[in-house]
Amino acid sequence: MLKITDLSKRYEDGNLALDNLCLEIRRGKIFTLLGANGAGKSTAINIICGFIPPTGGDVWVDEISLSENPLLLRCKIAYLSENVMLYDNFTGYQNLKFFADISKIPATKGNKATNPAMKFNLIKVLRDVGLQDEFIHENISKYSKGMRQKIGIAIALVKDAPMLLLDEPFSGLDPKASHDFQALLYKLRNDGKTILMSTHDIFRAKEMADVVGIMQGGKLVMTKTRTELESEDLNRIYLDYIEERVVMENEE
Amino acid sequence: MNQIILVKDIRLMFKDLKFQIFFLILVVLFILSAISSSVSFISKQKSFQNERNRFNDLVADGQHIQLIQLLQNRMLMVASPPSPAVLFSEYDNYPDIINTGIMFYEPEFSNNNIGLRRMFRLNWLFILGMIMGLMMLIMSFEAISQEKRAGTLRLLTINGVKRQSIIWHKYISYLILYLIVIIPASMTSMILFFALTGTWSMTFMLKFLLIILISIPFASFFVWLGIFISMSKNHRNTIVMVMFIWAFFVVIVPQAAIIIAKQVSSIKTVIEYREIREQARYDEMMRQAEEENDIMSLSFEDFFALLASNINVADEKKNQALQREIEENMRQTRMIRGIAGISPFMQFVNISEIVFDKGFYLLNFQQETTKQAINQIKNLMIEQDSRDETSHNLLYSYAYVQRLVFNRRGETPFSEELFEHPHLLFVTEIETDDVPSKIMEILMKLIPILVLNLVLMVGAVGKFERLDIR
Ligand SMILES: Nc1ncnc2c1ncn2[C@@H]1O[C@H](COP(=O)(O)OP(=O)(O)OP(=O)(O)O)[C@@H](O)[C@H]1O
Ligand SMILES: [Mg+2]
Repeated sequence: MLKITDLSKRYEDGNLALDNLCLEIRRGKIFTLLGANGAGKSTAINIICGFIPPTGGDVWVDEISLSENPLLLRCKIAYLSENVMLYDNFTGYQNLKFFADISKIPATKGNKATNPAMKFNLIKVLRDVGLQDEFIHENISKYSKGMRQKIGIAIALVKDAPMLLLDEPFSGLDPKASHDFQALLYKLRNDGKTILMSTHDIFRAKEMADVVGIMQGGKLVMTKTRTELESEDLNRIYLDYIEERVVMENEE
Repeated sequence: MNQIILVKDIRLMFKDLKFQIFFLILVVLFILSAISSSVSFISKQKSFQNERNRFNDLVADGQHIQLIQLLQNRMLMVASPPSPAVLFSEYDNYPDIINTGIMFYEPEFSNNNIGLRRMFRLNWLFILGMIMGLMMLIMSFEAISQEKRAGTLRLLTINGVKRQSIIWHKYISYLILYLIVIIPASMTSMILFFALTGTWSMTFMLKFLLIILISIPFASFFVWLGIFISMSKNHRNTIVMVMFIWAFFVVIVPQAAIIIAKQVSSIKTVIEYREIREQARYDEMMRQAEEENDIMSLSFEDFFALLASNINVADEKKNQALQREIEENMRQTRMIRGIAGISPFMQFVNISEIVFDKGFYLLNFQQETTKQAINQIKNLMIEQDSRDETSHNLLYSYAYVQRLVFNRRGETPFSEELFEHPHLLFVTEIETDDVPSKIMEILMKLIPILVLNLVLMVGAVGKFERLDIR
């Protein structure tokens, strides 16, 4: 479960990227986040991941708070960005192996430190995400964008975290890979994982989501569930909001 | 310390083309330094041996007057046998000093730029003091920006690696890398040098090892600097910045120190001092000539007779003037060293002087004592009219005294003991201090670079803590 309360972010240059964002995703659901360029989707995801500090508000994943225990919170999150680069001089396998090796859940009272990635057969994971065998032991520098993306997916997968944050994860994947990845996400959801995904692909957003949200000016301006959307044209709704934004800007 | 991350960082560097080139260049430089130092060592050894033979012959013949004349001119050749320290640095500006006849101090940084010249000689000082810093900077100036660009900084963070831990692993891996490069390369150089020159000295091996050890905080300084730069926003200009920072610390600061010190107190070169001396002579002569009526009316012969008779008086005056100049000179030298001390390169040079018993401090204050000591020996020799072992020893001791005038501490080394071990002069370097007090002194001199390290470390870690890592 993910809960965001009054999250705000003002960059050093004074740009207000998040304006008291509130959002809640229940366990085992896919939430797709739509929004024009600069709406604040990436900013929100970056804050949850701890890449940048928020200027206000808080985030909870399974009752763990970002402000109180950021390290433990990160154990609960797997992240995939739109542009996976990785270590150029390592092979895909070496990259995956490295991130699998370091990801672990720290020891708590009564529990030893564990590494959930250990239970995966890494080669098999790489095949599952659709990487051709001949590239597994090839340097990443020889990969196409989509192939890197696949390694990024594999890294997120082996972390086996309950929450997945995906920032435009389909960018760069070919139709077949996209289709496979979509199927993989369904499977993960069925395994009980919570997924937050930002995208510009309205059709996929509607198709995949349990809940769709539209962001605008750092706020969540609309949320609709799958059933609510069934009879509606998401494309129309989205454009309406964007146009409304234009109107708002004109008023200022 | 997380071994997995450390191994990753080190492996990444090994696969980096920059590193491979860097490794190759260093190995080549170290080998070349061994060869060039060996050549200069062997040629010095040869001429040293020749001089020594001549002295032996003169001693055997009992030609004391010639002997003493020769000694006065060539004191240094006799007294300073070539030492394996040439592998580290030449330290060869002594002859300039002795040639003036009067012992005064020529600071390292004169108009002739001895300091700068010394920097560009191919030896360990050049490699460790100059090249190494640049290479560590070039290696590390992308440490963070590369990971940021590759998005791996985000993946590290999301996988629970703390920011502090990321930066420390980077730092440690660069230091390990430094040792991985420097240890085999320097060992090869050292062994090659000992093999080529046919010398073997445990003391020097230890000194070379000590120098490598001492170079670590200096390498570390440049690593922190590189890491710091690697977090800068505008990455396009960083390579220019890197070069500039390196040049600033290694070249500009020492040179600026000279310029500033010269502004504050004017210093003269050997040649200028010679001119002063000649001028003093001439002035004195003219003054006396004027007293003795019209100088133009003197015959040519009388003119020269007058000149000859006045030389002693002039010399005395000149000596007094020189003494004052020497004090000024010393003051300025301390100032130059003080200012140049900001530069890690100069700090490294200063420490190396302790390790190899070189350097120039306070030598002029021993002038009188030294003169007395030398006269004592001279008189003793003449008294005894000796052609035996004792006079031989005396000569060496004489040389030894002269040699030690240029010793770092300027303590009078003349003692009875020397008579008993003249051979020491030719076998070992002169030890000024016992090892513990040297170590203490080195540690004291390491404080500035350690402070610089600390400042940069705190700055870099603090900056990284606040860095936006998207
Ligand atoms: N480092 C930064 N400094 C200042 N402002 C920033 C910074 N990063 C992003 N912004 C601003 O914050 C706002 C939100 O940006 P963000 O990247 O979160 O949008 P987004 O919804 O992900 O857009 P896109 O669809 O293009 O990825 C934008 O107005 C952007 O200009
Ligand atoms: Mg974005």
